[in-house]
Amino acid sequence: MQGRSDAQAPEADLLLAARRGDLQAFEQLVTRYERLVFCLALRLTGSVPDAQDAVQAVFLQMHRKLHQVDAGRPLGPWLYTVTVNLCRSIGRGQRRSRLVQMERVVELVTADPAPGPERQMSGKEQEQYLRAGLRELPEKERAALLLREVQDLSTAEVARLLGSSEATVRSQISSARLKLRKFFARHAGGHR
Amino acid sequence: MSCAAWEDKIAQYSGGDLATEDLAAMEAHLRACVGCAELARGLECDRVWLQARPADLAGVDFDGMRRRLRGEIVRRRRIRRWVPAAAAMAAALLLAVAFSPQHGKPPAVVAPLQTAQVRPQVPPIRPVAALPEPSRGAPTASAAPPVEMRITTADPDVIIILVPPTTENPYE
Repeated sequence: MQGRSDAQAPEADLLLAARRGDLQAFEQLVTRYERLVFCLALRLTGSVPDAQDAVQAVFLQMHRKLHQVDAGRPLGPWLYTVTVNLCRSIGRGQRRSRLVQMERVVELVTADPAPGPERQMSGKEQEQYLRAGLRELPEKERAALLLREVQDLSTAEVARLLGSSEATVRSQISSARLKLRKFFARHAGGHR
Repeated sequence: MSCAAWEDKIAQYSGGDLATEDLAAMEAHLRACVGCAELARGLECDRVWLQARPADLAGVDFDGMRRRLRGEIVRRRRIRRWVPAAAAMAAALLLAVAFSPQHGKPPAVVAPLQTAQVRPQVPPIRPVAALPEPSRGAPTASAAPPVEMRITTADPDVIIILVPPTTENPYE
């Protein structure tokens, strides 16, 4: 793989080359997945610096466990599992500071002088609004919802990644949807 | 108001997770219940909005992240290379000590240290003249003039002179 500029090399080939110590092959894998991992980490942690730390930790773990990753399967689900677990531990360490941040975001959203269903929010406001809503969810429900809705995985796949039963995951996702709906209805009349 | 008993199933229905056998009953209920129909619309709206909302990647330094990652991997590789080498060296050292011919023998007898007696070279201070008996009461005109006392030291250039206090000011 050394010296090859083929950006579309099969994932399994890149993985095998990375196992042999080829850093370029490893970096190609990182480039392929870094945005997906970052987006998931950002939604899970609600903070850009935390998401950046998570991305670095995820790929370091991937590098350390290259021999344990099944080259015959897509790498994405494995990375999602690692991301969810790492973001959980980041969340545990910084829960207090994040709660303060969340209060500020909710204040910002609810302090709008003309809240209502017709209210138009800027992109940045929508982002903060969504982060605040997601932070209200318990960690497991948030992870299940994001994997299902944002990463577009099936309930069965989410269950496999999170190590839960399908019934549990289905219940977590529907609970998360209802809580999010109530949050959106409670604050500023919705996200439109 | 939606029916609390239906809420969970409505949330599953909006995400396409409801079991096929429950679909007909759900759709019939939504046609009949305004509150639940509104909840279903809201959930569907949230779902579409959540899926369509891209994460804000502006200002995220992916190149920097990759650079830091590479640096960390290179650093860890270096450590991984050095740890076995250091362990091998330590093991070799231990083996060398364990199998050396001196190992296990009592230590050789060493002669006791001899201590030298050093006498001080500085001669004792000897007074040149004895101090007069201190006079009590007010000084009289016939009193003896004050006596100076000189003390020589080992250094011939240094002489300590003790001058008794006088009532006269020597600078006038």
